[in-house]
Amino acid sequence: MFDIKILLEKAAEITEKRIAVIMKNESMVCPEGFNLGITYEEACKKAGKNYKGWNIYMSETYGTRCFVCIGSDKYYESEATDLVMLLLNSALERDASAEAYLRKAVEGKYDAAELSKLEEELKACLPGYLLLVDNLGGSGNEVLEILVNTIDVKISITHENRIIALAVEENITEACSSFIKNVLSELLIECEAVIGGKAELAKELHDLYKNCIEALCLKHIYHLGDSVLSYDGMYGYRTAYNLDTKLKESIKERVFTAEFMEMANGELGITIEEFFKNNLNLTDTAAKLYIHRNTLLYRLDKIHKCTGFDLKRFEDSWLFKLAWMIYKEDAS
Amino acid sequence: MANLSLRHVKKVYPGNVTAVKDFCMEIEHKEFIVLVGPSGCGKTTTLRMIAGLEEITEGELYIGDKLVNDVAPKDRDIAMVFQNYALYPHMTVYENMAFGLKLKKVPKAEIDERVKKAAKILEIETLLDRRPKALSGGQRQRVALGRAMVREPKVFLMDEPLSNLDAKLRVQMRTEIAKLHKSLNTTFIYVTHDQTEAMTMGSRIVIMKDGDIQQIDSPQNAYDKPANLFVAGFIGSPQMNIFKGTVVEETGKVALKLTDGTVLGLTDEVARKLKDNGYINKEVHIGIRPEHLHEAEIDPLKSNYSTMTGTVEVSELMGSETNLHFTKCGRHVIARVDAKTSKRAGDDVELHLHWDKIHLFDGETEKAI
Repeated sequence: MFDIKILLEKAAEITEKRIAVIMKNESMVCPEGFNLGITYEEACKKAGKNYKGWNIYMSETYGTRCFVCIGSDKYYESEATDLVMLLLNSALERDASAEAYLRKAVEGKYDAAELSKLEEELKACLPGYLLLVDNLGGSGNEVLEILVNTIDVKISITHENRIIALAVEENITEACSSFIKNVLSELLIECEAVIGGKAELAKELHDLYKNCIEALCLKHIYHLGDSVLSYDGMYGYRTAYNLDTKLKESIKERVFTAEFMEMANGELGITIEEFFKNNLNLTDTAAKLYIHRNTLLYRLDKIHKCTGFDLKRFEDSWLFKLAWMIYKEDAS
Repeated sequence: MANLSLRHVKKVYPGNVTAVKDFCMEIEHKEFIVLVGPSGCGKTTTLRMIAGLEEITEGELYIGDKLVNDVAPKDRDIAMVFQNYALYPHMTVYENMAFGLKLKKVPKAEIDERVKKAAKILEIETLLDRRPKALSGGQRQRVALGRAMVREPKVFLMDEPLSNLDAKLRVQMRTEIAKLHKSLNTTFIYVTHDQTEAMTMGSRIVIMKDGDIQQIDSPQNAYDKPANLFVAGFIGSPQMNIFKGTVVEETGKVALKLTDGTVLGLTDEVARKLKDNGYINKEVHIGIRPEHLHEAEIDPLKSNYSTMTGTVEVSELMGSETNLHFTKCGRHVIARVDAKTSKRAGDDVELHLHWDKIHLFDGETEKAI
């Protein structure tokens, strides 16, 4: 859809006319902000006519009906109009077609014979990161609008009440974090962005989509507060989840004392989470918790006394982190 | 009108973790309420419940006359400013501020009017054509505020919006937000861990600890009449000096005896109150603000004071005053005295403590007596 927007802007610039596209669920106008004042239903009735200062032309490509409107006082068909229509139709077709292929690719619903066509259709969008946006709070269109305005999205579809997108960004985690913050500020919706991984070829997209779903499951199992999840960064949780049950029990018994378990839900729990999140950095953790560094040291000392594990030592902290993940898995 | 009513609001997370216990408060239209407390006290959870980002476990929340427990955040007519915000990098300041309204399909002319009005109040009119990259930290913060302002909400919710700024900018933005509140005439609810921010910005402050409200009061009252030992220690910088002592009655006079034998006198009114309420021979906490310890040599008061002595360990010149640090009854004590003091580390100091400035707290409940 982003391509059409750019194309519209170009067409409006070249023809020096107002141009709009009306689709079932969405409409776009160039110059932006210009009042279109025509609904999809009205466009259906007035196609091939001049209505409210617009010439309305119908386009039906790839099973999708849309209307191209060119600002004018009276109805006409000229070569310039034909050219704009041709360009828009081809963009719409390309877009619709690529979207359909992306859907097939993430669902893995294609056979070997279709694979080369799939690769061909999605070639322009790859390599790219597969993103999944969950918890759209019933505002899918608005969330998508914020997504394409924050991240360089090549193509996107809505699938099972989630947005799936292929994006190109130098720092995809940071870009996703900005996107989440924008959604929260604009719409007061706390959605989640999952980075499935980077795909070079279309055939990899199905596995990356599965990665996204697994990352979401791990988030729920381990009560992760993060709004941006990167599957590649979740090795620890994946390892913990796949450990043998007996081994999990023995790790828990080894690490957690009854005394510690009583305190784990309060401020000590918050401290542990933040300390791990800040890579065992005392200064950063204290700043995030708004406590003095010495208060943090006192709390860590308390954990040390209760469990025998000094979280400031790498040897102790990694086993404790594993045990902490198992403990949270049990609590879920 | 945007008055808020929080009635016995409670938040319990899965695993039976109670974040907010029983929050009751009436907030009037145009008030600037600051929720303040240490990390984990429930202030952000309370704000998030008001925003609708967190479900209310028990209790009722009204915005105006409407019960909003089950109303989606976007339909509560609120705007929220967060500690971490992002701007659209490819858009100008104008476009950044207008974007949310465009999403809501607000007519272009109205968008233009609202953006320009907000830009004028925030004094960023000259920056409207710039992109975020070309802005300083403070200017970006203003754009983030502007994005919330153009929505013209009934209530502004702010969650530690200044925490990511450096100290100088934080002080500047503190004033800006207070000015903004005055010019917008809207209800503000502001969360901070910083008691200075709370004291300087709020028309009323809510001091919280472990999910409980400790005191709701004007900043001045919270400072002058702390409801309990926690508030006494939390509000004020440097914090209140606290000693343990016993209420004694000797030769018909009620006084306070510190653990090192120092005796502190009391006003007749306080003495009577302690006696009437059965505090004789009971332990109490005694609170003295640093600025209420006066150097004996220059104290003009000739009666109704007690004397406290110590040896200065550190003398800190703060500019307009000097903080003298010493140890008394095993506790670290700070006296804020005149900057011209000649006392330096190692000097003995005699300080006057005015009786009417003594704060007393119950030895067991820690509540103000």
